[in-house]
Amino acid sequence: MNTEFEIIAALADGKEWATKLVYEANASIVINALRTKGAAQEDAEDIYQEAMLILYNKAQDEEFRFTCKIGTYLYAISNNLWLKRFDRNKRSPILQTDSEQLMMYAESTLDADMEIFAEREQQFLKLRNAMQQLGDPCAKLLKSFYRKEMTMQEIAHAFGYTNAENAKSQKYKCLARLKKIYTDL
Amino acid sequence: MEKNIWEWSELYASNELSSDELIYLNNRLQNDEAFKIAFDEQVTFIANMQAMFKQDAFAEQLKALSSKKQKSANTFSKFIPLSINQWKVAAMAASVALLTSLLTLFFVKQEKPSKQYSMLRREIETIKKSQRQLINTLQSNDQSDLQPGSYTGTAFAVSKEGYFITNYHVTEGADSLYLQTQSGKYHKAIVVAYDKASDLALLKVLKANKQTVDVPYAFAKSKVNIGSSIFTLGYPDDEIVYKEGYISGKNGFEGDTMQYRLEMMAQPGQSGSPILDAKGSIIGIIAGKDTELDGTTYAISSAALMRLIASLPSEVHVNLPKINKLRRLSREEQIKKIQACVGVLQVYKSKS
Repeated sequence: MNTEFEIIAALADGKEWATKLVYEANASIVINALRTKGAAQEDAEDIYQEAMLILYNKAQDEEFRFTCKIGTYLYAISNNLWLKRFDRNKRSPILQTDSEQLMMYAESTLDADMEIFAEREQQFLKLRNAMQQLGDPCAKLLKSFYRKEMTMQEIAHAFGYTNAENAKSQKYKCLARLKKIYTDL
Repeated sequence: MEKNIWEWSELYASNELSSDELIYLNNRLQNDEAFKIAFDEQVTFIANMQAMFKQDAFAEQLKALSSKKQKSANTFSKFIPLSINQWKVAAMAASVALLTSLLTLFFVKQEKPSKQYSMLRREIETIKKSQRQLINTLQSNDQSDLQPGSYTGTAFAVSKEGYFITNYHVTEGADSLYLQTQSGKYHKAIVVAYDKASDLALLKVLKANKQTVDVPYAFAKSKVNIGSSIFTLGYPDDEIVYKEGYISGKNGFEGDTMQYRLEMMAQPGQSGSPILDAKGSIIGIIAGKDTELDGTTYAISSAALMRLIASLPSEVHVNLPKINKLRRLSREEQIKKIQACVGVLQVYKSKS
């Protein structure tokens, strides 16, 4: 059995087994809770996905990993997402039965987490834009390397460079170009 | 140390500098203001980009989970940690633990492979001769509490350190596993990790001498196209058998995206055999056949294998071969090289 700390650390590191474990352990609880609050099934699923992403982001902070209760956090952040972003009626304040679950994570903390996540997304969006303008083969090369899909040796082979050293210097040229595009955006 | 500034930035951002290099870098940062400004900017930029790619990968995992969540609720790839020197002693215990941890899932498993899908492990009770040989081998190894093997499958090498892959359904409930290679020698094997959902099990073959396996093929990273011709080597009999066919469908049984559908005859015992494309890249692993359509066989794609290997904890190093040495060889020569890496897996179960 893995401890909660090991699981959240593996999730933060992008280990698929951890993502799956956390996702499946909490999906029905969170989605059903959102449904009882009036969320449509589809919205509830979207909220849960976003909650997982926020959890992933938050888990990059090691301190959080030591103290977090994964299920409680997912429940709390999903609830907050629903209240702040989706619930158009701005209905009921938080229900009585929720209070115990939600006490561990203050509303202000959850708001801050959502905001930090949104800011990061904004940055990533800009970066994805820059990648698009960069075009292939540079974009493909960077993706292959940073997604750890290929080693420099394989990249050299796949992109037709004579050796890994050449591919590497090409990679740095691509990086420099990407950064220029990014700062000019 | 003739690294350019981007290389410095990248190695620093990825935490890959040695302590000597860090000292050198620190010195330079203190004495070269222009270098420091550019360096800081680049490190931030690269770290940001790494974070984006990582998050994208995570988001893809999430997406995959939401679209197929009704399919399998409790099947994770599992890892069974064992330190190397304990392996021999613990192999039995590990396989028993594996058995008990799966008992609860046993009944679910029964209904999953529907009438149309039959797994290709081979019952060897029917083959008297090989059975007798097996009993002999076992008694000489003083493992007399074990019953003769109930069936066989095929397994093949995935890395030079002696890791082999086969189907999960071949190893399911096994007390012990023995791999017999082309040379005729038996080696004890243990399950190191498995993924029930994709039906894969990763084995470590325990050899007395630390001899490495020369793995001549590489693994395809993405799915190959429908119509590609393919071939396989496996053990439907006591001898290795070659078969060929083509990919007839991009997805496998009941639209399983981690599988291929093949037009190729397959027989019991071929479960776990490698499927290779014409150039000698491994594109999949045989898993089962359609009982209603003759000649339709299903294979798990190599992507599922990569996923299993990627999910291993960092202390297990399975280095998949990166170079395909079969590319320019004739088929006969390819087979000669591959044969040495494919073995028949004898599965033993206790009486109860």
